[in-house]
Amino acid sequence: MPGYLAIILHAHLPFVRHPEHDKFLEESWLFEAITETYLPVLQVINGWQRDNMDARITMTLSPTLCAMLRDPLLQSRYASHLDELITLADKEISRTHWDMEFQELAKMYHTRLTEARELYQQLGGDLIGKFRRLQDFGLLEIITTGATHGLLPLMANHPPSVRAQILVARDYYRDCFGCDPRGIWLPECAYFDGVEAYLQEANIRWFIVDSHGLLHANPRPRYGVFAPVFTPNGIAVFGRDMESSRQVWSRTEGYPGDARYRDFYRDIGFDLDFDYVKPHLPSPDNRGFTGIKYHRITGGNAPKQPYQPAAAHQAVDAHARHFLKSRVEQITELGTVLDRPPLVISPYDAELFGHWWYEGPEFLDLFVRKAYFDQKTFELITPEQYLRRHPTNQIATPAASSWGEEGYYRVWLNEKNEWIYRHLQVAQERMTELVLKFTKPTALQNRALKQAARELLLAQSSDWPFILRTNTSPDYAKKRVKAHLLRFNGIYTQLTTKKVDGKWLAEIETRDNLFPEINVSYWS
Amino acid sequence: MKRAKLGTKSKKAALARKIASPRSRSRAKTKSANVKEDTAPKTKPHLEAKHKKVPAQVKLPAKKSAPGVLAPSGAVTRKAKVAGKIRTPRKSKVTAPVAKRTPPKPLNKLKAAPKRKPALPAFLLEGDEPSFLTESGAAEKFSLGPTAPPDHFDEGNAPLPSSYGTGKLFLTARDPHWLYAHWDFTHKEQFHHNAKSIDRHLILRLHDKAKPQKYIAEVHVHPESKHWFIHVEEAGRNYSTELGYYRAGRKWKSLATSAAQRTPPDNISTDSTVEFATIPTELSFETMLCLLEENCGDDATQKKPLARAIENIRHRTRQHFPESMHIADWTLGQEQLLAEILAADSAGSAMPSSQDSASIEDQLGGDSSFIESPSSCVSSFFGCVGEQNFRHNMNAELIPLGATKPESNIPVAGKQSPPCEDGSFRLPFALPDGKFEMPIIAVSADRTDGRAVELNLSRATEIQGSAGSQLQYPE
Repeated sequence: MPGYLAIILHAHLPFVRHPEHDKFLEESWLFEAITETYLPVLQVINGWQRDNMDARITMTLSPTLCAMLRDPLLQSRYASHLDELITLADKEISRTHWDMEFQELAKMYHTRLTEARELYQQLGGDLIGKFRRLQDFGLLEIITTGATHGLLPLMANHPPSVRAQILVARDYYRDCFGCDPRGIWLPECAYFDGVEAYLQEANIRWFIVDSHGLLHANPRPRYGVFAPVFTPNGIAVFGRDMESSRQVWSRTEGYPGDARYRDFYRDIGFDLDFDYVKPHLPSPDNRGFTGIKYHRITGGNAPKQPYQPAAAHQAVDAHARHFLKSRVEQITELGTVLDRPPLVISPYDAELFGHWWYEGPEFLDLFVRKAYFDQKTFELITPEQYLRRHPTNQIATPAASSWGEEGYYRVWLNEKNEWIYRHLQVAQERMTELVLKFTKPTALQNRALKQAARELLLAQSSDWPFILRTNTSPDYAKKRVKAHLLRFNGIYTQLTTKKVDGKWLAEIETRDNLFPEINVSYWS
Repeated sequence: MKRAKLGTKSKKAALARKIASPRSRSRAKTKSANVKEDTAPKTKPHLEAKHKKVPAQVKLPAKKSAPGVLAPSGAVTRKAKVAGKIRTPRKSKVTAPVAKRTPPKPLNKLKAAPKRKPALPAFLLEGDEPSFLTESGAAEKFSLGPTAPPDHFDEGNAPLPSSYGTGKLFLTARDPHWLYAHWDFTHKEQFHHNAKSIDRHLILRLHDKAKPQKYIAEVHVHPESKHWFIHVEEAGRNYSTELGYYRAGRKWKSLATSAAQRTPPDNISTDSTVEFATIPTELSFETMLCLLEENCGDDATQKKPLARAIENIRHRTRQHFPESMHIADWTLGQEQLLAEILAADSAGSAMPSSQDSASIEDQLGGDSSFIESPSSCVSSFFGCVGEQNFRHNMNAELIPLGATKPESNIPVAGKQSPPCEDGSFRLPFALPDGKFEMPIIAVSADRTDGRAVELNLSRATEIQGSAGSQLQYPE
């Protein structure tokens, strides 16, 4: 094969779990992603396995996402959520009795949701176990990311926090997948010079940066973004390919903006009578997404037209063919220039496939099948496989960068969210202070130390400043940061000035229950 | 405008250079009010100030009439595009956030508002927040509907401490041209320091670790501020900050110093050294480090980073470290062809980010030709780095200074900008080429009186040769 293509899907959601409420709006982030992305992607890869295809992709499964997918409460709630959706789809089949076009769509949703429930039940709710088996089978390489997806460059003033984000993630990966992660998705692809020391400690062998992170490397990389470089301490750095990213990411220029695809925002949770949809809404008092959407993007300012699955399927087919043709041409051209097989790295948010771009999983399936069966210009590969075949690479230090707006850290550090970092800085230093102080903690103190670490990690998540910036659920994001910092401060005060309140500690342990075996020594 | 003719390599490269050039120009016009005092503009703005008492009703600045200036919390106005031929002004998109702000009610005793609309360039109206950001792409996984849901979470209601009193100063490099500094004094401590300062507020000194002078800029911060975004011209440099104030007799009192932080580079490295390493994936780093310790012949090797150290001991540890793969010679022709491919990759449109530039394009009426892309600089990949030995860069900005009653308000951009405790105020503006009318109005605390000063100014820049419009500190 003259070249390689590595598709990398980054699956991550912040830890949202509210046992104190029967239903909680933001838990629907997880539920929607399971229904629309994770289960469909599993179905797609199942198909490759069934058809004996040796086609590999790479997926990040973030530690917080893994923790939620493994959590019995959220599993149970998801099952109920899915039941509710199927009930709603059933009601919709009746409601649309005199409107055949919509009724067909209602039936489509009913069928798909029922299939999703069957798969979920078949897996016993254990998606992580299924992903693990696919990795063991060799169809998938699973990588990790920061423990709670904290933006590492913004923690550079407190190195133990960077170390903890990486090592806690490594430990939890072991717990979930029974081996060490070989690659890491630096949260938001945000790299700074110095992070590789902790990656080396975790024996993590590669990570990805945005295009300019590699193109601005020092010394300049001979092969641009089409081959990795090694940092001076031996960790491979892969750069995002611009062309293939643009073709999928951009809503106007990219495939997902095609007028035939399903519209993301038009949802019966907002369109239909409130009393009718109320029992099925993610939050009982407010309108919200149900996931049942009857319209296509349509385009322009014209009224939204009904979704037509057959037309959308045609679009998927055309786009998969176009993407394949583009990659063949790209790699062929690169092959005439480079003195080694060119590698194209195409990373995407996993939730783009299915959740935002409803037809995304079908596109992924069609493209991979076409790439596997219909061409011989490139091979689908994982970065780890590439390094095994090509262990000789140029030495260079990448440039500090991220894949966010403008390419650096502005999304997570601006006037809307800068207040977070003043508090985090103090909390981070206090965490180290506690660990150094309590070298031989009592059982209760040990629990308090571990919970302090969990609260700090949760406050560090890059999702909260991101949401504050994008304004999708700003009150919640702000209060989440505050709640975790307040809990951390409470534990710090109790540990340093008085006795630990065991009852209160137990309560917050029940709520923020991720990383049960967390190792607080990483903060020392 | 005349420019020195640059050699061309190919059509693709030329196209990409075209696309890349707005990026550098944009940076040139990104302004910091405070850090540029050392770099005196060579272009003379023609200022014509008309001092008026306003007996009649003053129409307080709103929408386009009022430039965005320093936010009370300390953000420095940032402009993100170039006017004129290079980029399309963002017009209504840019002004949208300003337009939403409700101007103060007209003063009861004042009469008709001035009819004329001040002609300020749109980018002067930008705040620190870009106006184009909407939820899309990655943001959509957090979308719960067309609008944000109402507040429904009953935790996190208690306030966080306003400070912790650690007395520390921290610095973060946010991007190639912006630093973020924050410091932690209690309210009482900060009040105490402000009182001792002859300026009645603290000052951030900016240090460039590579430059011999004591500091390269001083940034006067607001008395209540505990953070500041600082603009720096040069990317890829180590900066540190020092917080302090001037005591009587202009004696400097230092309160805290930050660690140095390196801003990311914003261009291709000039270092074209090529060095390869072969790293076996089947060996853990721990094993490799042990082998290194056992086999290295000298301390110097052991102190080298792993990838380089392995190359030094490979001949002694062939059973562990395989031979390197043969790397063919790399020709100038290959280099140029790859540069063209990379340039073409970036020439289509903006590189989509995790927030999807599509929405940006939507909001800008589909014209994406001027959207900055961090990857647009690939056009200069491989050997197109500019002349390093000589340079002539300049820019100009305007900082109207004034004084009014301390308790007055100076409404600009729909915001109330209170003057300093002594009534003085500084309103820094980017000053691109063009003619501008800038009304600066002060309104008395009881809102019964208003005074306006209108500045009519123009700038016209002519560049000859390869002079740039991007500021750089003198070496």
